[in-house]
Amino acid sequence: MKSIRLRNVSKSYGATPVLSGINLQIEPGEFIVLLGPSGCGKSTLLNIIAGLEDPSGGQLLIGDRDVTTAEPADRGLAMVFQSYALFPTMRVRDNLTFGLRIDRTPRAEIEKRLKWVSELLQIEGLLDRKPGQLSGGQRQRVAIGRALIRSTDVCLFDEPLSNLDAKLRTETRVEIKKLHRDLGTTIVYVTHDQVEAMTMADRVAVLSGGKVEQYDTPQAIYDKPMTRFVAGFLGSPSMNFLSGTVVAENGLRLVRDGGDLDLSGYDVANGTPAGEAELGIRPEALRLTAPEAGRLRARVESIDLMGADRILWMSVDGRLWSVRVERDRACREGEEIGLDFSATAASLFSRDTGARF
Amino acid sequence: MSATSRKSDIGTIGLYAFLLASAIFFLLPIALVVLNSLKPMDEIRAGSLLALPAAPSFDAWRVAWSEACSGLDCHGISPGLWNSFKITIPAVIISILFGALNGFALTEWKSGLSNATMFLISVALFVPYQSMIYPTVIMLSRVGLFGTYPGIVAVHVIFGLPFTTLVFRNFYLGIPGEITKAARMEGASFLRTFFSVILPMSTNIILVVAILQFTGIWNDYLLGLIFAGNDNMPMTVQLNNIVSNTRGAAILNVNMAASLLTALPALVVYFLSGRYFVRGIAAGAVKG
Repeated sequence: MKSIRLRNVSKSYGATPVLSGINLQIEPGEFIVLLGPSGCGKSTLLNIIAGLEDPSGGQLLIGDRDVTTAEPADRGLAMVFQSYALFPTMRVRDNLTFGLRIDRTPRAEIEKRLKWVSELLQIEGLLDRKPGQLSGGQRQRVAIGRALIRSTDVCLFDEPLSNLDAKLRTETRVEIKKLHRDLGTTIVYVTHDQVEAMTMADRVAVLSGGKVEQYDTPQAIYDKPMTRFVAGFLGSPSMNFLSGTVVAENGLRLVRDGGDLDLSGYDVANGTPAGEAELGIRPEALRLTAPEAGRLRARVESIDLMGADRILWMSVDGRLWSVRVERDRACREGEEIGLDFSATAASLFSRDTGARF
Repeated sequence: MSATSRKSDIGTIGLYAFLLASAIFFLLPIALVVLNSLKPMDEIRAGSLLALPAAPSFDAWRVAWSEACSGLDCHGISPGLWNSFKITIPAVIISILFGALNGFALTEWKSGLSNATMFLISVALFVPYQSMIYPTVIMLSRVGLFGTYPGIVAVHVIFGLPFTTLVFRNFYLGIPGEITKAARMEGASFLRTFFSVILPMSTNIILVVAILQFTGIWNDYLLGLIFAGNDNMPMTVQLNNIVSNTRGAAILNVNMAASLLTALPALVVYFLSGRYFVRGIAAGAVKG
């Protein structure tokens, strides 16, 4: 187990910046997810940690060693690729032991590790097959096995579940989490799937436009998104937004055409809220009330049955909002309704900078 | 019967008619050569060229193989067969090995220079090699390889490399980059990755290139004539010497038998590997 430190890492292709000023501190044994939409630079960042790409600037330390310019093989890490990248002409056995054989590990040791990893991942029966004879899920296990067998301090995952079907994805997710708990390896895991990030990570780094938007525990990122981007990116259905002007005098208020919204009780994170702002409220933080009783008025546009609960889609100030309600709540399309919420559960962002107030 | 199927019937008939005509067009000369190589000279002079041999005999083949004269020595074309193998096999192996290595290097080396190199190689492919013969003669004689066995092998390798490099590079572009990245993460060097991972994935394309290179080098006449030297004359050159031997009348049956013997190895390679050839071309077109 080793720590990873990224200091002011940047990367550009020609004149196009891909990453700028990335600072991340990853503790030994931590499970870190790099989360972001396609093109946010998360895979590039992982490749830089792996050594498959060189950063344009900055410094990378694994443990106490500066590995900024070290060869991938000298960094003491293993990697699982999105396409699995198994060597198609080698049997599973040879795929697993390829790295050990290159390192000239003694044969007895190789056999011991092969036995260990194939039992751990339950692939003992597949050792003499070629990758082409395996199912997607089996290939995935072999790819993970190839990363684990060398017992490296750090393990990198590049969207390893995106080629699996939904059921297998959930199962493998649980399994990777269990492996991490049992082996304690430091893991850096790239995904665009927020469910994977929420369920697996000790901490999540949300990336957008080549910058780290927020780096915190999944719960903190969900409850207190520090930027407008993070607020909109995490959560399904996503957070509801309302624009207006925020005024701090005589109690915090959001001034808008439909009347002022009292936000007293809002937990201010940065500075003094002022100016153009966006208010964000999660679908489950909204309560339905009688039309006149709530702080907001809305009209139910459509209803999605989700099984365990229901999502009501409604228009508020001309924007489409979603509200999560229990499934027994009587309600029909076209109904006028009131909405209420607690200011402590709301988020307030500056329109200019996107930062949380 | 519907209109569309009637139309496709006509199409099928047309297609088969065309295939049949093409087959006759290409097979007729071969049939003619085979038939006449089995006849004695008198029968050729007396009858029609396309008549079946009255009493088929391999006499002409035996003469062509071991007795026919080119110039003063009368050993047939059998010494040329050995020379041709001696030239073709190493030239094919070396040009494939280095073509594959070059192709892999050019795929992995991602820079503008790599594309420029590739462009130059493609251009070289379209320059007629006849125009490069004179400078090649000079270069080889400077290093003392002109008219020697290593010289003729080197010439075939060098003239083959643009083609093999281009084919392998295009094939390797289809191999997912993550595979070489994975090998790199496992600590494999460039050469280790090439020999342990990439080359074993290339069997189909190696077969295709091997067949094309084999037939190309085997059927070469000009380079062999110029660069091989008297001791290493390939079969094609000896065939020409026998056929154009000016003393006396042309011994047609022997000439035809000699031609067939010369063409045989390339034909055998095609017949034995046709299946792999098609499969390899298809594999190259789609992806490894």
